[in-house]
Amino acid sequence: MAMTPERWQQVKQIFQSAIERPLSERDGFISQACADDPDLRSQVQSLISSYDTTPDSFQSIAANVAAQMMFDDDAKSLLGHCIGPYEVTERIGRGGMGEVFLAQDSRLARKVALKLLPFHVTQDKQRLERFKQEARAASALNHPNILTIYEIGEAGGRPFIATEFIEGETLCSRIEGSRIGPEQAMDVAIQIASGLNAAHEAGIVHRDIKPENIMLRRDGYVKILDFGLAKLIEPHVADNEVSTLIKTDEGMIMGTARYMSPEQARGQSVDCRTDIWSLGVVLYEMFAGNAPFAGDSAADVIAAILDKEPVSLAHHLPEVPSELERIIIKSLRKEREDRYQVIKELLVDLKDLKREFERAEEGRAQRPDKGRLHSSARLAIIAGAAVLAILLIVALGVWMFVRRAQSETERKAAVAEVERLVDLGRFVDVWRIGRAALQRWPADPQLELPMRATTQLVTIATDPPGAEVAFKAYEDISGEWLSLGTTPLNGVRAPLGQLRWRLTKEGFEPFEARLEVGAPAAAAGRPDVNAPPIRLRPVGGDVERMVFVPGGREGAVELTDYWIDRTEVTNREFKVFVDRGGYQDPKFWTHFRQERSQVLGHEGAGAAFRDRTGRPGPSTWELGSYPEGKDEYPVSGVSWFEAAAYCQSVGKTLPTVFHWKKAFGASFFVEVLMLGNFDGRGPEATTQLKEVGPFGTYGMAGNVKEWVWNEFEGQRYILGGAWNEPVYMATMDDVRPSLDRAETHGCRCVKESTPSEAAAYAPYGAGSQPARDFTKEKPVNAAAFEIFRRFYSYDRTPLDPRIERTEEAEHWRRERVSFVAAYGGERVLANILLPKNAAPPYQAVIWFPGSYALDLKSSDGDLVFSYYFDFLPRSGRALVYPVYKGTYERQAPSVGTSQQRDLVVQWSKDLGRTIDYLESRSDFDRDKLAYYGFSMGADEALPIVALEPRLKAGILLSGGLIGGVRSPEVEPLNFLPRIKVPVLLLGGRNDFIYPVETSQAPVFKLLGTPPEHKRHVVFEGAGHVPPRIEVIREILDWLDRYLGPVRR
Amino acid sequence: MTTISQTDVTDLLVHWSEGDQEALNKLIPLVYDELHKLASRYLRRERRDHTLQTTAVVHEAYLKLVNQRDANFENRLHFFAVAAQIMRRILVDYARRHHASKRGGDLYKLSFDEALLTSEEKGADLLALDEALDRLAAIDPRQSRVVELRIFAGLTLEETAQALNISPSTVRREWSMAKAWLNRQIKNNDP
Repeated sequence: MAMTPERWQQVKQIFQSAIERPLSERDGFISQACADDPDLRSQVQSLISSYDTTPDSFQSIAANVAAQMMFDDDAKSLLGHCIGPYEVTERIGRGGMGEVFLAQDSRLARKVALKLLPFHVTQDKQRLERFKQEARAASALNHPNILTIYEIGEAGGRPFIATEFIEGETLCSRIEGSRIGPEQAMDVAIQIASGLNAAHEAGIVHRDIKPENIMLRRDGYVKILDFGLAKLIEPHVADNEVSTLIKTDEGMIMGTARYMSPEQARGQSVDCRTDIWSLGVVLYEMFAGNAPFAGDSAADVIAAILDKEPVSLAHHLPEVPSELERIIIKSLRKEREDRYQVIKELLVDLKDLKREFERAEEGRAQRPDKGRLHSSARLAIIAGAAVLAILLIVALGVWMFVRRAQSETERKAAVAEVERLVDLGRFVDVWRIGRAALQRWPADPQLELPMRATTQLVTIATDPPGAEVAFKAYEDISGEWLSLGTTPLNGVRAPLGQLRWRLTKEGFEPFEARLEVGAPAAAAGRPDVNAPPIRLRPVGGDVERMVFVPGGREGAVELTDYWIDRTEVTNREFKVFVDRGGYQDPKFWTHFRQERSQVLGHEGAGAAFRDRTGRPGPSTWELGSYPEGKDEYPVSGVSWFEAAAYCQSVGKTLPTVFHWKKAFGASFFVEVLMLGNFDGRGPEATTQLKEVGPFGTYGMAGNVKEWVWNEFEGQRYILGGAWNEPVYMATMDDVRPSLDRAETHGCRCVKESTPSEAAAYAPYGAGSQPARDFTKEKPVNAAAFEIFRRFYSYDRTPLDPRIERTEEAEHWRRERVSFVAAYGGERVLANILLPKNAAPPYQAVIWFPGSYALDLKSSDGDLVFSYYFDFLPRSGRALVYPVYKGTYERQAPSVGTSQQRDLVVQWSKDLGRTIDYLESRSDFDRDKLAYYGFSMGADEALPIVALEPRLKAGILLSGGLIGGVRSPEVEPLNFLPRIKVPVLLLGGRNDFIYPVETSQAPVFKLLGTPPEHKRHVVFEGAGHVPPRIEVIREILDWLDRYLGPVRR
Repeated sequence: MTTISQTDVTDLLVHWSEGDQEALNKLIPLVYDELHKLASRYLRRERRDHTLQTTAVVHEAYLKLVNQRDANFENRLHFFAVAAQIMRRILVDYARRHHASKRGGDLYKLSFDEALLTSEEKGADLLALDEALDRLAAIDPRQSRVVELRIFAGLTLEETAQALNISPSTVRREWSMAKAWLNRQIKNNDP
């Protein structure tokens, strides 16, 4: 009966209640629930029985297909490419044991069949070696019925086998098509037995004789494929292991099960008698047209192999000679002792039988003569030529051998070096070394494959053509330029990853930019096949200092072509504006008048925006000018109005959010952003900037923040982050009051070809309300919290501490230590800065970094963002910086709610173990420990502060409550009331990430600390990161108050 | 030259979540490309074991496509919801083609072997699953979404619960029933 949604709900209700009951009660429950409806009962019961038998593998249906698809795609991508000397032309077979391609051997101009084995078979090197030996040994027999192997190699970690190419079909497809005639069947059987005989005599067992592994060449020759391969592919099983039987049920299929011998089915060791069995099955199938052991599933087939005798051959083939029946039965004895003991006996019997066949046919047809005799003269000529040819070949061979022996050592060294560089991810070096090596050893598979895997084709055109293209690793500022060629370049290989690349041509401005090879072309701003040629600019053109960005979609808007300043506007440029009376010229201040006239009157901007000495100019200037020697530094200390006025004065405009982001081409790689200036010291000259974007802009990440056009609730966006901010500000939106003239604020301008659509200039991102209202949410009750707390407990196992390294600096001694983590057998790393101006036992402040630490890979060198904590050792306190799970060297996948939860729990354990470690040292005062967290450390990490009873004080810088839903057991909201220690909360009035009212204030309110011991300082005019000096003052006062004075 | 940026995807996700079906049409090719690219890269990276982890691929695609700093939790779940649909489409298309070419026998068979045939069977299973899922969607849309998220985006019970805004225990119950029902459907479908 058709299932209606109503009926379905009925079934569902009963089904779901039923499965939650104990097994013994289920039937009773169902009968009762479906009392008067037998149809309903049978529907529920059928579901229940299906429920009980649904395998766990159900969930992997999709994943399995995905795996196969990827495998397939990967194989497809090989077409037209070279694997070693073999140029892949066509795919002729496929499967888990390997893809088979038709390929051309470029050296010998012959066709080869190339089988690529799956990567996973390389797992066991020993096995792979054994396979190679065996396969080569079989091939070396030079038997006409054994497929000749030319080469077994490895390319890019993937083993391949190059063999002779057979034109013909497999026995499998031959017998699938139509019944094979008895004469041909006999002939095929004899050839297989003959090939096997040679192999067995050499001690090689095939293990996987089946029609798929037998090729019928068009001229009648039969070839056995894949000697030794079965052993390589089959799963590891110990002898007599019962589990094989279960395994076969799940993983194996009929195709293979059918030819399996009883000893194989039992998982026992195999010998040459296994091949005899399998040949017996093949024989039976060829003559009968049916397999001897059949069943609906692999398990049924195996059961038949173990227990059942096949149906008599005579049943299928009435006139079958009894001798054939006897031969087959003798091959298919369950106990191998009862079978033919050697294949030779089988071969002899088959040959005898064949002769009988032939005798029977004699008289029916007279065989034609096979060949003609050559004349003796002709024979002599041929012999002479052959001798000469042999001599030549020998001479050539000796010469090549000597040469090869010398170069082989060098080639191996080059291959090893390339492999090492691949593992290190240094793809530019792989390219450099690999290219040189390939010139020496052309088409070497061990060189070519890694080259192919670590490069991608790029296409670059310029207008005019003929520009020199060079590149280097992005971060390798002083490295040598590597030449890629001259434009137009059509599909040349460039290494994957971040490149710095350059176009040069006499008479034109050089062009330098970032190229992200491997990212979607358009997203990376990379020229590609469809992109218009890059326009080279003649030297001294009128748009000097600007770079071209082709229009297109960015976010929700369509941009027209535009030019953008190559660097931020400099002091020198801005001074021209000041000197020409720009601040007094009303035509540049229309916005200002519109938005601010009520507040500031009509005196003009000159009165509103003054430098330190009261002259018109940026807030960082004096006497209407910038400090000496700072001509090329970015102008800083300008409001949005001054930035907009300047751009207008030079015939340009401020970029919109969209123009800015498109030109910036945000990278996923923090390494790129880290080349921006985030050093905490101050702005850098625009001539010294290292971070270059995909279109050739410099310094968009870091240095000064850059005002952009768009408004947000009466304020303006300012992007790219500043020298004193954490690196993530490079990609994060920030908003400040339009009148804000902080020392970090600068700008750059754009010039559009024609104005973009109006949406580009409209207010941006407005109306985006915080996801949650923390002023209304309630933390969980004490009982629930007690349960959460249990997630965080750990056993105090031995620390096994080690000091990895120590280093002396001017104000501190840096120790890099490690100790055993509370989970996973890992070690926690920590950097400790010990003061030089204080006496032990030290007070210690334990730092927790912002989320930038999740993106960075090493904490070994200079500590990022140290200018917000390195004052601590100078003030006489130790600074302890654990590498928390997920940060720096201890990367962890950080997606999914469960993983997020695990991470917070691990952070808590890391903090606990760090304190355990400090307590184990006599130079720390265990009663004087404070926590200092920044951003993520004052947000997601809040639970760890609440749960660590040994802390005496806490400092939270630039944090708050934000974001979406987290698991309750790590939700900061639930932990705040449990923080009882004195807490200093520091934040900026204009922090766009953690706004004061909706984010910082709820933290302060919810803290369980008594009111007299908590303090919230809001720095007026500050954004996400408040000014350093004021932060230091607050923190030192706080520590003096709650940890007491430092011991000198 | 069109630009695919993180902002783009984030915006589209937001629009889609607000009911704009056009946004979904724009999202699909973006996500498709990314999933495809990532999946092949995964294969290359995981040399030792080419079992593809759907979850890993989907999660990484999310990280790449959606601007993490703007991303809120809801976006993430919308993304997975889209990704699950797209994954399903990709895999079903593939299984269908694969199946057809096997039946048509246009491939010159040199050597087929067990893993291939296993995957052929899996391909047939997947097609049967896809059809059964459509039937399920007609009578119980929510249950079919649970299956889609679990199987095609590899979400955990908990994540599925959040994505559909229902409790984890409801997801568990729906999943149990869906599994049983689908498994039976697939079995019955088997030729």
